[in-house]
Amino acid sequence: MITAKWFLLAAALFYFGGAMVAAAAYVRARLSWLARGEALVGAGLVLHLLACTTCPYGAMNLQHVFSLLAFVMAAIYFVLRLFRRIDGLPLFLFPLIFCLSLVALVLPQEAGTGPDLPHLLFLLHILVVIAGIGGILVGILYSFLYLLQERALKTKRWDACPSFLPSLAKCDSWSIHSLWGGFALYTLGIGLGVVWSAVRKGVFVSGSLKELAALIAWGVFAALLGIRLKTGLRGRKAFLLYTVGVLSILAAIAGIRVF
Amino acid sequence: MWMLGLLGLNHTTAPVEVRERFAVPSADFVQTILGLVEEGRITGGVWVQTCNRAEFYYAADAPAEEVLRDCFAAAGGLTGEEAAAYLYLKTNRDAVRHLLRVVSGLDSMIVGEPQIFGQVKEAYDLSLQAGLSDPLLNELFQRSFATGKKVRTETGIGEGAVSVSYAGVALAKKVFDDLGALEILFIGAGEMAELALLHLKENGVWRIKIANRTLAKAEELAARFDARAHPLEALPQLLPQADLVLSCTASPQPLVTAPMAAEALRRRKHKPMVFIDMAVPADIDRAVGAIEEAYLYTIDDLKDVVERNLAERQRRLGTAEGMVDAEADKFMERWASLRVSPLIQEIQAHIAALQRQEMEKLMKRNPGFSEEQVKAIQYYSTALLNKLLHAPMTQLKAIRPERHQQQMIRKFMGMEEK
Repeated sequence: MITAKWFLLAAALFYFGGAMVAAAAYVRARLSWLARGEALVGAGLVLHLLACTTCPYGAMNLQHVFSLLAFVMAAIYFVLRLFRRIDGLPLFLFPLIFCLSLVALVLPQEAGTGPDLPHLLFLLHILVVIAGIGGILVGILYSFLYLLQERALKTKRWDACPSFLPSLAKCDSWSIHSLWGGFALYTLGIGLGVVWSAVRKGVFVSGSLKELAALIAWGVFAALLGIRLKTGLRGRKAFLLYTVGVLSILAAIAGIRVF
Repeated sequence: MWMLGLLGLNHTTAPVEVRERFAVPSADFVQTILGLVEEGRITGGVWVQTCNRAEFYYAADAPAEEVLRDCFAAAGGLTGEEAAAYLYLKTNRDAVRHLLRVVSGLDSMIVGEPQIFGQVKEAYDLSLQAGLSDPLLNELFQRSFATGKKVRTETGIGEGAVSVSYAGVALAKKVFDDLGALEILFIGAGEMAELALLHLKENGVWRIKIANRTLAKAEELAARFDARAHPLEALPQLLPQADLVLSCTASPQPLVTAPMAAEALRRRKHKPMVFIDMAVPADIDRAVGAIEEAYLYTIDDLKDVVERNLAERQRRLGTAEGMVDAEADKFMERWASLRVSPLIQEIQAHIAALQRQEMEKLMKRNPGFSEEQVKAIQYYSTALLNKLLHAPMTQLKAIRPERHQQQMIRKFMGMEEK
């Protein structure tokens, strides 16, 4: 019987194939190959969807979180792709999607211990939070591309920099838009979690460590974005601070099993 | 379609004063060429003329160099003897290979330059309009355009800026992407500023400010380029708004200091700024380059970039030449096939005519044959002739006989010689 794990394994293989083809496309400067890489990742996305639909409904553990994160990031890529080609991003995003799906595969599969009712609201809360994290991760990836481009320009070897790297302005613009979009979704996800808590437990905030961790993480990221608004923070410092922000969010989510 | 030829001169064989004489071929030259086509001395031709070359590609059924050499020389107002020192003649595979190299940018003064592609395309279109087209030349030029694109795409030989001004524009694009949205500040209003302004205007820049010690000079330059002039004292107020700062003055001291640049960046919320210092001694303090979000380049830095790019193009030249050779071989194969196709069609037509004649004779001698019987005989004779012709036709395609060999084959088959 084909279980969710087999679908996820197949998806991970396609993600791996897509990542390799995308890397070859950029390294060999044959950007026409990128479409093949995207097709492989697209096929992986479809298989991943099957994996998600065959997993025990309502169960939510670390494995599911990583799996969903991989799925959401792949989905975000194709949504963005509808509007324009995203130079340079597949080179880093596809391997990240593969790594996340690989982590989901190797993590021990736990029996469904998630909350039972109401499933839909809880599922929505989780999906939106993960979509938010996906957007934030895309923003950080662009921030990393900004760093690469900045380094090439500062060392005056910008002509040796791969031509697929977007301009500094584009990297910055896409980074900050993705960060804001991801943060907005994360905020919405937290809001949905508050509503779910009210429906399930009768209180909006129960004061659990898990909720506190999530709110602290939200606050840290909000502060970072505020600093960016006020001072225009860019470059290496910005990348490090955003990474700290997203790690705090991921720690809050990973703490689900601890808390 | 028995011969392809090329007669021409370029930047390696003729000085610019001679090349200039061929800038516009005389009306007589065009008429002479049309006359040669009408006489059947050539079957078609394409005149390619740029600042670095003047070349005439032609197709003919027999050698026509002597008459073309004189026409070509006359096009530039030279005698045959005068032109002989500069002209080169290439035929068949050499001519094919030369055209493929030219269109791929491998024969240009700056290897990989892109303009030649469009120039040859335009020349080809003009020759089509003038009625100088020829199926073989059409095949050759279409092949050359496809090869040019393939070579450029697969080797990247045209990538990288190879002039200082292009390097400056390329640098700006690496930082800002859209030059049309930039605000540019020129410090100084001399000749260098004027040249840079011209180049930036060509690339879509329109928000330009010029700051100069002598305001009148700045205003004069600003009026010519639709820019705004400011006194040099306004520099601290102008810097925060500028995305790209170009400086070339005779100032003995730096005009833009590190604290000034840092303050400008703070006021523009650390949006990146590019400084290009074209002055000696420096107009922009070198410490500016150490500030985050400030990118400082001198003219020497841009020249280094140009030299690296030129060296890289030379390195890729070998691969590009290999691709051109392979495409030239493919074209020669195709040409050989095209040469034998008319003969095959002639033989088939000749045999079909003989078959018709014999069928008519048969019908006259045997008027009592029914329609079915006639059809059966027709079918049988066609099948037999096809069977008989199959092996010879296959061999013809394989050996691709030359012109004199084709004449022998026609004689052998009892066909009219051409």
